[in-house]
Parts: sequence; structure tokens; C-alpha cells
Amino acid sequence: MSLALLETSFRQDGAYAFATGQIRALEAKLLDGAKYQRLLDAPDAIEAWRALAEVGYTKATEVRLDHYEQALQSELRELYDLVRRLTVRPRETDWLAQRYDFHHLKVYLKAKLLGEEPGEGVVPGVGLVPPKLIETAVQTEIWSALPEALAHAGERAFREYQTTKQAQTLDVVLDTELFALIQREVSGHPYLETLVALWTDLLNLKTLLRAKLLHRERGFVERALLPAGMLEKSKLLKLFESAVETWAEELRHTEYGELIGRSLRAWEEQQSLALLEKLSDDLVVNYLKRAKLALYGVEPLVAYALAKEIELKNIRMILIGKLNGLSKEAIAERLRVSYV
Amino acid sequence: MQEAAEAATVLGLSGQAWAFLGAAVAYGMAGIGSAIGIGIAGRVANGVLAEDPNKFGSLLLLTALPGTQGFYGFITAFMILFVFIGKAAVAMSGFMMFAASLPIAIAGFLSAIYQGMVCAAGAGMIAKRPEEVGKAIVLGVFVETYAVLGLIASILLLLAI
Repeated sequence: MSLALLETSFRQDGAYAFATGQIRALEAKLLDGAKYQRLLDAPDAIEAWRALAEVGYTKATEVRLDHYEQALQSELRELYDLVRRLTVRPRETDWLAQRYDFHHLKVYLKAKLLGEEPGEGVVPGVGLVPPKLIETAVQTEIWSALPEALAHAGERAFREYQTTKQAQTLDVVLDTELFALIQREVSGHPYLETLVALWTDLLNLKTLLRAKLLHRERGFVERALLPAGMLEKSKLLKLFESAVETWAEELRHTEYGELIGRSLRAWEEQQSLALLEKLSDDLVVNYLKRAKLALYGVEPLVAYALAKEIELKNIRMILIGKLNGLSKEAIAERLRVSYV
Repeated sequence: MQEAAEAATVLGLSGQAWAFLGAAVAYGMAGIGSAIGIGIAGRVANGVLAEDPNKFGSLLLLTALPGTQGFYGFITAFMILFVFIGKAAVAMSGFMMFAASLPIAIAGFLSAIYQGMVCAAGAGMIAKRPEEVGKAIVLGVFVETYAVLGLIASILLLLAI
């Protein structure tokens, strides 16, 4: 997939020289194609779990396979401890962890308002705010205990839900608030600004495609689209009005033509948008890879954190696939591209 | 011209003062450049070592590379102070010694910093491909060429006085 249209420039920052050195060494330990293949070749989940220890996850695999979710969550916590340790100015990376705060807020709001179980959607020790604190704020509707941005988002989502009574309101409000926060935090870092614009576009395209396929009305899409992506809102709305078959053609001059085309073909064949999710992640990883060109700065740290998150997602997919008896080809199809 | 050459001072400074200034600038600038260059490469190398202490050997070479400019500056300063200082009795010769110190001062200062960046990138590369240490060093040495040329230029200028 071509990313040729995206410009990349880095804000060279010598304060991150040590961090970048450590990240370069850690990048070498990320799973590459051959290591993923070893996991895939394992005949069952238990063997895959053993193979995971051989490819570097020695600590995680100390527990039994039954506890794989906790082990992967603990890897994620370690990743965020590393990010906090290596960051020079916390503001530059805090937004990574704040994504989890917003996620937790969403989970607890949905639990309260829609009766959904929080389940394993909550990962303590990763975000900036303890999930318990968020849960209490949601339960009591007293938002002042939360940091300002989170409190504002929670209060607004809660209030707007009361008027619309639609679950999507929670998603839309919280995503909008989160992206606005991230955009503020990364401003001045061209590489990260493009990353966030890429995320915004991908999220908007997913919203648009789902809405189109589920025959939602234009008003819903208008409310749900996030501002400030590379694709303008007016262009997206125009796209929404046109037949879905023309979308890939309409977007051929952007990064997303192929992604939409392939996702639509998959939808026709399997009635599933799983490929869209995979291709979106692949596009992001391929963009993240550019941080390998940065001499030093916050960019390699952010790119590593996000690449590692995707790696953990891949491992989870392999384990779940193996536990459910999927063939290795079926699992491999879903795996996100490797950062290395 | 004849008057200027025989004047006791140039721009208010005696020949010896200009020679001292030249020696100080040659070493000072090249030394600062080397310190910055090593600082850059060293911090990245330390980061790599934090994760993988076994790479110390290859990283040591890369980190030390930007240090050579400081030596070149020192050689130039040494030559001015101990070989050519006699000629500084003539103010214009002293002034020319100062001028002769500038190539290594400037080329050394800047090349050390940029070499530090190349070596820092090399340290990042070695973190992933330790077997390619030779290539990382060769690329660092390319920058070295211009520091060496700066030293040669300074020596040639000193010899021409």
C-alpha cells in the first residue's frame, strides 16, 4: 500500500537521544514475519504459547495459557512504564496513555447507561487515571475528580446521551473529544500530526462505510464525522451521497482507494468488515515505520509504543485463533503487518 | 603593504597575541565540536547499551569517532605554539597564524557535530544489525574526510607563512 502522498518530517530533538538508542535496540526484539510464522506453525494454543517464550516473551509466558489475557495486559503495562520512563516531556507522550483513559470512560459509561459489562475492556495501570476513579466518577456523576479533559468529555457524553438516548452518541462525543485532545498535544510535531490525521481519516472512513452499508441517514454521519483529517468533511459527505461502488475510484488519489476497494470486495464476499480493520492497522503501521528514519526525537518512541500495541493485538489474535481451532491460514489473514 | 608587514600590531594585537588566539581557536572550536559530537553519539549508544550491553565493543568505536577533530585542533594549536611561534615576532605573521587556524577550527567544529549525528544513526543501526558495524563506521568516516582536509589546510597555511 502506497503512502507516497504523506509528507514526513521529524522534529529532531537531542533530548531523546538516549531514548531513541534504547528504542532502536527494543525494535530489534519486535516480532518479524519469521517469528509470527513460528507462532502460526504451532499445532495448538499450548504450543503457540510455548513458542511465544522462544520468540522473546519469556516473562509473559511464565503464567499458564489460561491467563494469557492478564499476561498480555501486563506486557502492555510494562510498555507504558517504559514510555513514561523514556519520555523527556510527559506532555509529548501522555496522550498515548490518555487514549486508554477515554476508552475506560467509554466502557464505564456504556456499563452505566446501556448495561454493558466492562469485562476485559479495562486495563489498569496503562492510562494516566486509575480505572476505579473513572468508574466512581461515572457512577456518582461527579466529574471533578477527573483531569479536566476527561471530566469535560465524560460530562458532555453523559449530557448528550440524555437527549439522544443513542449509544453512538457516547462513541461520537468521546472520540471527538479524544481526537481534539491528541491534536492539541501533538501540534508542532509534523510526523505525529500526520499520524493523527491518518487515524482521523481511517476512523471517518470506517464510520462512513458502516453507515452506508447499514443504510443510516446523512444526519447521523454528519454528527459522527471527526474534524481535521486529511479528507475534508464535505468531501466525505459527498462520498456518502454517492454509490458505494464508486468510492474506491473517488479515493484513488488518496491513501485510501485500495483500502476501500478491497474492504468492499471482502464485504460482498463475507459480509464482514474485518479486512477494513486489518488494512487500516496496516496502513498505520506502514506509516509508523517512517520513524525508523528519525535520528532522534519523540517520534521513534511513539512509533515503537504503537507498533508494540499492534504486536500484542496480533499475539492475542493468534492465541484466540488457536484456541478456537482456526487454521493457520485463517489466522494469518487477520494478522497486522509487522513493524520490522 | 611594507608598512603593514612591519607594523608592531595588527588590529591592535601583537603577533604573539594573534598566534595565541589562533591556537586557542583551533583547539577550542574543534574541541567543542568533538564534545558535542561525542555527546550526541554517546547518548544514543547509551540507550542501545541499556537494552543490550553486549554491543559495547562496536559502539565504542562509533562513539569515539567524532573525538578526532579535537585532536586535529590540538595538533594545530601545538604546531602554532611550539613550531611556528618564533615567526610571530612579526605582527602580520602572527595574524596569518590566526588565519591558518581557522580551517581546522571551523571544519573541525561542524564536522564533529555532523559526524556525531551519523554515528548516532549508526548506533541505532547496530542495535538492529550488529553485523553491519563496518558500514556504520565507514559512513562516519566519510565525514571525517573534511576534518582531515581542514587539518591539512591549516598545516599548509602555517607552512606558507
